[in-house]
Amino acid sequence: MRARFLLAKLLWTVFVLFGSSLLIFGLMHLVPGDPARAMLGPLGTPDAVAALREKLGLNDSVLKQYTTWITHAVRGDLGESILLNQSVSSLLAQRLPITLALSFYALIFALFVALPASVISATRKNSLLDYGARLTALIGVAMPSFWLGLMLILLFAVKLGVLPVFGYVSLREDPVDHLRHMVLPAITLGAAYSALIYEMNRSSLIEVLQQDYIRTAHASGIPSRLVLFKYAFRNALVPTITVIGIQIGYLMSGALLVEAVFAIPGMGRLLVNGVLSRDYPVVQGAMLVTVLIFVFANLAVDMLYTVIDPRIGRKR
Amino acid sequence: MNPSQAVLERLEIELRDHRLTRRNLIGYSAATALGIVGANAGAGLRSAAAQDEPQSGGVLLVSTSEEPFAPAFDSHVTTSLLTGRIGYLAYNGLVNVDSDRNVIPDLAESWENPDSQTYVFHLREGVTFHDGTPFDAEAVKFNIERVLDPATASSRAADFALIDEIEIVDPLTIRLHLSAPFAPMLSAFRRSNLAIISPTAIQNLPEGDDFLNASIGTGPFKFVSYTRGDRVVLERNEEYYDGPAYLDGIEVLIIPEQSTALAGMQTGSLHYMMQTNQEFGPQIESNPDLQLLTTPSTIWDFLAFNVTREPFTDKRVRQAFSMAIDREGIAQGIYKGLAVPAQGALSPAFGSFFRDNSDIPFQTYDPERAVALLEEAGFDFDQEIRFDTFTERPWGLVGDALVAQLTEIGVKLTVQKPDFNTFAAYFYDTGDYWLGNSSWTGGGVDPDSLMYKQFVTGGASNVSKSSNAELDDLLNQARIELDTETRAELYNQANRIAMEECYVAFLVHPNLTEGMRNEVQGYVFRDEYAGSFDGCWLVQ
Repeated sequence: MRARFLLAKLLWTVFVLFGSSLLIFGLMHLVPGDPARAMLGPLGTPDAVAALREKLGLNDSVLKQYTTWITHAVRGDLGESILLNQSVSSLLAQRLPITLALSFYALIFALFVALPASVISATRKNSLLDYGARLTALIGVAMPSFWLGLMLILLFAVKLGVLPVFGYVSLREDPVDHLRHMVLPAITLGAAYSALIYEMNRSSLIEVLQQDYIRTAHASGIPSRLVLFKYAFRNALVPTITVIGIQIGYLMSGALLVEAVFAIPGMGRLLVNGVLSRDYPVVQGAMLVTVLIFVFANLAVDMLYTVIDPRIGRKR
Repeated sequence: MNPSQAVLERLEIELRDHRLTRRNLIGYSAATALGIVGANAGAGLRSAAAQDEPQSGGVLLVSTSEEPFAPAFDSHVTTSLLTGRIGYLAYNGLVNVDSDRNVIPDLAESWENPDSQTYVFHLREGVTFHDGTPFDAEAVKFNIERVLDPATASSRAADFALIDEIEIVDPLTIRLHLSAPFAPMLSAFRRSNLAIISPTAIQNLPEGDDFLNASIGTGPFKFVSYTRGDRVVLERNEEYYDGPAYLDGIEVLIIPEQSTALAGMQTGSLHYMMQTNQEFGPQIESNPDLQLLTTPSTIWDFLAFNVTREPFTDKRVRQAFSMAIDREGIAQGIYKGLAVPAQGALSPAFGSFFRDNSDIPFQTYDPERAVALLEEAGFDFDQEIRFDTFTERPWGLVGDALVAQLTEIGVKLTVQKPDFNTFAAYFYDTGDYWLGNSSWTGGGVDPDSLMYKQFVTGGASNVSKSSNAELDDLLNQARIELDTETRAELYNQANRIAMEECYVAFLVHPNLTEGMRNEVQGYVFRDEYAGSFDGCWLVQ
């Protein structure tokens, strides 16, 4: 059964990718402005812009441009960045791991904060501690990450001087420095994510804790710690994991801002610069990869369900 | 405290403490002439100024907020001032421009004009490009021809278009013949406008690749690497013709957010912030480790009217709109006082070309007269007029202020505010707009670059689409006139016409503003490309 479930999901993925490719391509070409203008700037004469446009093949019909791009893309060739003068695949190979690392640390931070906090809140519902945690979570969701990032920089880098202000050091180059550079961006990116996970896990845990089987477990004298972690927590996780999966998209889009604030050369900045300068191949390539990650993250979540809750995906 | 006062006070301290050296004195007189604000004339500067002797070593960390997009280091093509400045570190020109906008020798040791249409350059001997290619007349010819080649799509081509013959007299002498006299010719060969790039580097570009990935010139710093999204690394050129630089190298870090860069400056992880937004001026000024460098520029911000479209076909409507604008308010509110209200196209920073034209009322704030003029013109206050601006700072903020001020006199506007690239498509390329704001910068050396193509009929940058025979005549005459006094008069007459006719509303001349840490020494801050790191050193 699991194989069939997987196959259906994979087919769906291909369909989603194709649809997204059309959407991404169409949207980019609908927006006025083009890379020729971006390259020549305000001082470029209309004649020079027109000449460059011709040279870059931007005068071909959109349909022709799309077919050229998609036929190359399925063979793994995402084209050349018009403005960075490097192949899109090599740019993605450099940038994607940075964004993935950042997202990973943000996720770790979010789980590390949200899960214990949600357990404390759920078991001490309506206590002062619970209220405090919920208020913090509310602030976490509402706070713009851009602002939070700058505040963290001012506090930890400028005032206290314990962490670097900006930049990126690769893990291979210097693991300790790598982590030092990642702390503030990960907290910035993970804050709102953490608040969401907390909220979801708290309410789902409260719901589970009220169910009959928990009461039965308590009544049969099983230690409450064991009841909480073995019987309640695991079942409460299913909706939480859904949120984690869906919000992977949030991490990727949040990276756009966080990478700009901390000057991290990740995919988010590649994408933003690509959009602003109409570097079509870069935007298309980066978006496609983002969609792919999103789809596979959700697929992974679907798979995780079946592990956590064996009832899911089983023939009834 | 006015700028010169700050400098004079420093000078006094130095004289009292007998620390003055010749180099300092030159620096100070240049600073006084330019009116540079040494914002922290207090403790920070004093301790730094105590270091008289240049020290070798250290890597200067500079920030840029812009990715060096293609054509990146191809300084024949790039129009981005920020990217151009990275290339500038590795290139020389035939000539350069000093703080007073005088043309001085660079790769050309001397030059002469046998007649008004002929230029003979005598080149420096023994100079080699970073890739080992010898620098000679052949290389100069190659560079000029490349800029003129339409396939290069160089926006500088117009500066050299009158050259009809390039003759190599001997390996170190080149003679150029022009089809007509052209006053801005010599300064067009300046380092920031025509970088002399290694012909070998250009010839070796891979097939179909029009962009230079590296800046291979003869300059004081050699290109090492460019990591997209991260940094450009340059190292000292040990064979530099003017002697090796003090710095071991320069790293230009790409930091999109200026708030982040400013935090980096505060902690010392950056030494210099290129093109700092004026809004950060007060923060830099109040930090004892930092200096705010600011100097009047030749840039002009403008509100353009499409004179081919109603209601801006009527001169009175344009004049009224122009008089509705509080220029001082924009200078203070948006530029934090680091800008001066503009009367016309030529700013006070142009020195001998600047004339006081305050007798013309139409470029000065007078909202009552503006309303009266609109009523006289039978202006329909109920019509909605589209106003175009773009999100990038500071233009987007200036746009917001213009909208507020025009609304104040009862004009109804529909605002469109996309990113620059979208805006450019209709503002510069198709001309499908009524009213919009932007700015011009011309490198600040010759008034021609800030007036000719902006106001001549059919000019490449004539966004107003104005056509005025008298103005055309004046601008064309000024191009071939070689006497500076006469040229200044011609430009002034042209300027007065543009001001009267209000093809654009001249708004402000923003100061060039940059932030620097006190340990950076020997830096010459000036308008043209805002300065040079050539003679810089770091106090360690």
